[in-house]
Amino acid sequence: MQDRTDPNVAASAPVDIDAPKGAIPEAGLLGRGIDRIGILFAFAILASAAILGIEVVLRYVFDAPTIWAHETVIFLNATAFVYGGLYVVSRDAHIRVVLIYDYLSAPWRRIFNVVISLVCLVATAFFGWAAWQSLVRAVWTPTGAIRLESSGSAWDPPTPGMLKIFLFTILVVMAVQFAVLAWNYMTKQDR
Amino acid sequence: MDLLTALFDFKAMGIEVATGAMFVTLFLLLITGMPLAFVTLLVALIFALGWFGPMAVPLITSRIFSFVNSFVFVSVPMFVLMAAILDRSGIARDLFDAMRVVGGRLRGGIAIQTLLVAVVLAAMSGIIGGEVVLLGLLALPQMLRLGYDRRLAIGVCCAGGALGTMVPPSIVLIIYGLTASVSIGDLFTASFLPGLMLASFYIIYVLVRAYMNPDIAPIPEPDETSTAEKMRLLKGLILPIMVVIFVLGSIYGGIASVTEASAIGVIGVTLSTMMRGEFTTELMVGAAKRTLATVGMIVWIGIGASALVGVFNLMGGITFVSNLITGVSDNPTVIVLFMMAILFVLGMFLDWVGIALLTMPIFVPIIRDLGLDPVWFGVVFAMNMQVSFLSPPFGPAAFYLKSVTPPDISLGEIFRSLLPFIALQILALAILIAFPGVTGR
Repeated sequence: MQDRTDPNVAASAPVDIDAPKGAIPEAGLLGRGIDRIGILFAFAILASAAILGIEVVLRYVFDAPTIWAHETVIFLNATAFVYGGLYVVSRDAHIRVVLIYDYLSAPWRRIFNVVISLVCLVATAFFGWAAWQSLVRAVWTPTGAIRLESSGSAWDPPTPGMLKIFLFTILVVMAVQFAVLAWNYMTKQDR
Repeated sequence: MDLLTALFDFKAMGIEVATGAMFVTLFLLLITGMPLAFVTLLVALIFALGWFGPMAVPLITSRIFSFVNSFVFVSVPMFVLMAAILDRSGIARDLFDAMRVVGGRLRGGIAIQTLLVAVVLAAMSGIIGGEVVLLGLLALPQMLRLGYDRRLAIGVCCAGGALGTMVPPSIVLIIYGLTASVSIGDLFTASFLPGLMLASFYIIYVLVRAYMNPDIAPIPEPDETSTAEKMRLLKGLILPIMVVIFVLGSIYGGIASVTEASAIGVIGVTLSTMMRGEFTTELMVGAAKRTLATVGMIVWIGIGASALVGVFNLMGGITFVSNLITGVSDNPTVIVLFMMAILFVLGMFLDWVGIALLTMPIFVPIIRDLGLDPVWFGVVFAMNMQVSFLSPPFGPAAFYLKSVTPPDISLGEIFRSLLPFIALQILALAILIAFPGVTGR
């Protein structure tokens, strides 16, 4: 099993080692959008390195640790982790076993691509429904008032509630992306 | 509704049949080429509904949130980012040139130089792809030009590049530490000697081959690099090397947490590129995007596996499988060897992230029950995964190397070249199991 896109790309662009080229054509307009927005979350990762650096200086040099650094970094990374899954869907770079897949003829591979995208759509929608259940608990109180679930620490940010909303949103977009992939695999003549 | 519940009442199957059904479903879905992350997610949700009904679904999502929300896990994107920046800078190239001093007029010198560079790169990086590609671009052409035996040269590049996950910092060990709840600092300390042991096996192998058959490793022409050039190379390397010492030192010394040390590593490597005049916005953005894709892949496999293991555990499946495994023998070593056999087979087809997250929640409690050390087992696991990087049909290291080799080197030849190195890895694994003291614990 390996990431199928990486080796080919690395061969054509050895300078930019094994970085995938971006969204695959079948991901359509949505895929390109996902790829663009990805830069925001790439920056979130860079920002968390910087925040952690500041925190280290404040803690070990000035002995004045912040109460917000750790939770901010965890939140930034959690959003990047969740978005990363969508980002990789649009690049068709999720890890899969290609034991049979690689030996399929073009028409069969097309059928497989369509069916795999549809089954992934089902899995994502299913998980989205599960995420909705936890979103409901995190956003509304039993009486129906809106109150975002918070972390319960000294700083007590509403990040857990925000993350649950974010996960649900991303799953909805991901389900749509799988639908777009299935449609394009079905209608486009060749890759 | 009654009909529906009866139709989906998996409990009627009993845990034996349900476990079997789960494995078969997983296997069938996987071989179609469906992404692992979504296979595990789908199977987890189907079994959660079938076994417990809709009530169980929030339990799964809560597991996923605790997985995504851990501070230690932040070290994964940090180490990946560090490696991505490193791969894009010229640090590896300079390191390789500077290390020529070591190889010198020794027989097999360039192969040994390559392995030493691989160890230093491994200490800067916790993943393998970039290292294999770098060695394939830097070292392989030189060895081939000098008339080295092709298979030896190929094997050295792949096996050396794979060391990235054996020598700390290693993403494999971080993920193991998270699933097994053991200290990552302890894991890093314990894997240090075994990592060097494996690297020294490679070096000894190269020396033995080269001196038994001088044709396979011709001695290079005298080194014409000037002293001034050497000084320039060394200057550019001082900071990156200091970063490595500082990052690993602060983890070993228990000064900073692994996550903090990893962020310092990122900042240190970034400063190094600035001082070397290589820093550009494109470099940073490219590295960060690469990191986003890599962690997206790792985390979503983690999400799926964590959901699946959670459901399976609630069903009582983990107890069932544990009993099966412990029932194999009364001898703990036999049980460990049995686990190794399972990992070898899985390693041929599955990615290490999936293997770690799917099997370790079952294996580690058994290891604890047997009175064995889970930290030692983590090192054993990492060593086992070394084999999975090289073993056909899907050894990732071979595919990474193939992406940068001349077309006349086929994937088949790469895999054949790797066989002696796989044998050395298995030898190292055997020593690690027979003499757990190698970990220094």
